[in-house]
Amino acid sequence: MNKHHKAIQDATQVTWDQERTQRARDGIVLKKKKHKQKQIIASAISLASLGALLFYFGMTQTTQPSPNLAQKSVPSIQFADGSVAFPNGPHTLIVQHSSTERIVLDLQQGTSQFEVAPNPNRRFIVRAGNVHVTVIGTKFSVDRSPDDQVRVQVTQGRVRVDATNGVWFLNAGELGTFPGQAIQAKAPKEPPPTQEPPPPPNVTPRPPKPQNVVRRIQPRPEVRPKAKPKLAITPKTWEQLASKGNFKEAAQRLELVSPSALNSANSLMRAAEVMRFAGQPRRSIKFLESIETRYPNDAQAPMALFLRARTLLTSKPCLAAQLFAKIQHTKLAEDALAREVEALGRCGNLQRANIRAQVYKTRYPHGHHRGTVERWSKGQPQEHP
Amino acid sequence: MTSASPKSPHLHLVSLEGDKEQTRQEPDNSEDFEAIFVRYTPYVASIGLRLLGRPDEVDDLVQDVFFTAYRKMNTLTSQASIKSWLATIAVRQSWRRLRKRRLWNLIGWENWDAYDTIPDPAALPEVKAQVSALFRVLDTLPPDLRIAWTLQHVQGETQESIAHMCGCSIRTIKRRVSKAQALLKGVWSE
Repeated sequence: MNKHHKAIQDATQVTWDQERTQRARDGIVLKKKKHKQKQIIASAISLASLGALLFYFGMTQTTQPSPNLAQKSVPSIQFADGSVAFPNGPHTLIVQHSSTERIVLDLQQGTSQFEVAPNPNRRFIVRAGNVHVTVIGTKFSVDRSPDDQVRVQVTQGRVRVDATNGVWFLNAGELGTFPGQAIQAKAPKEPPPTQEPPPPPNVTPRPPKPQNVVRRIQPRPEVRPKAKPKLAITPKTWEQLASKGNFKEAAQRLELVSPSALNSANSLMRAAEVMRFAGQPRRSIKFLESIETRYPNDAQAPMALFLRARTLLTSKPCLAAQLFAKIQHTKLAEDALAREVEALGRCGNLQRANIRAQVYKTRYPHGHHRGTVERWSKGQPQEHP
Repeated sequence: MTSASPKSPHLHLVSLEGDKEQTRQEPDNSEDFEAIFVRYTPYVASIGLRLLGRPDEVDDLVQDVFFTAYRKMNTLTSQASIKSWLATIAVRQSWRRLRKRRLWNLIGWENWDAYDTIPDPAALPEVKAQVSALFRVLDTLPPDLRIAWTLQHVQGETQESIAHMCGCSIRTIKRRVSKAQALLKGVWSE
């Protein structure tokens, strides 16, 4: 080190006294306190951020589509309402109908998973043979095996399954196996009707420990009555369709509706009308019958009885005659009496037909059904083309 | 200084008010850090003044160095190396301050001009002038070059110790010193 450097070194000596030492010590203590405070704040912020992140991801995971499906590079069918079908492996999945109000898919073979966007005003139906899966919830898969067994597995929400052996409601985590088409062939009329419920599908809770073990669960008797109020939503849709004059689609939707789900005589009568206008009068009988049994004192009851008898006139004329005979003391009495004569004539009971024809002539000497009554009392007239 | 284990130092700081004692670990050798503090404060302060060239920043630097030393005491491997360890902390703290100061200077926030306060008031007038001029020039150097040159020529450290303090090789220190020397040559003739 040369002279210059030595001189500079000497000139840059610090005079460090006791006072400065104390000041420095005090400053260190203060720094230490601040440092602790910073650590606490940083920890609190980290915890809060972590909590917020966990909360955020917890929330989004329940609403977003499952990543395992989204990540799969499988072909998918995306519908306008955001619902997606993920066919899996060899399959035949046909979109039969897709509109804002109804999506109908026909799974002819193979497996497909479905993620259905919640929308109470749109029906999402998957048909696999005779099994119709109607979505009430959101996520499920349908597997139609070559032996025509249809496996429906619900991962989220709730679905209604219309199978040949009944109507079933599957909740999230449940798996049902239903016969695709075989039931009708296997179950002819010979087994006498018993009080037992129809054979249940195999319903398993979703995470069964061993895959092969299928735990049979008797369908809970309260499930169906519980589910029925939910079907109160569905008439809205078929009613809307009917009001637009689309009776065929309304009738298709009504096929899934039990008469007991309709809570007024008016609704039942409207449903019967829809069936008749859709060209399926025989399907209206159950609704008409329901009016007679549930609402016997309603003003619509005689009309329901008349319509039912009228529907049965050609196929079951004897029964129709009995039903027409029940209609008395109402505005429909004249028409009912004339139809009764016709029904008796069709039935071949000409003696009784003559008696009832005489009654008609006596009661309604100027009735506008006189000619028809006259003809039927003498036997079945030639049908005009 | 006692023979406390360097891996488990026992630190003790007493605030000026004397009402609270911040202790860490066992208090039996609590005077260790206090002793280190008292003993090495002037040394750290002189390094600070020579590296920073700002008498008003020296106290802050000393606090920062000893606070860091207090927090990192468990990383000290040998009692014998305390002095160089503190010097290393002082160099790194100074380097941060110099870099920040250079940034402020770049955007025009640094306009310190009290170079005549750096030298000892008792020094000769020509030495005072030389010191003021030197630090004026040093303020124009990059922090790495300035620290290397200052430690070698003003602090009188060996290149090995400078390399240790700066965390780089001796070759790098040599290169930095020679580069700084070349930049200073026109302004500061030996």
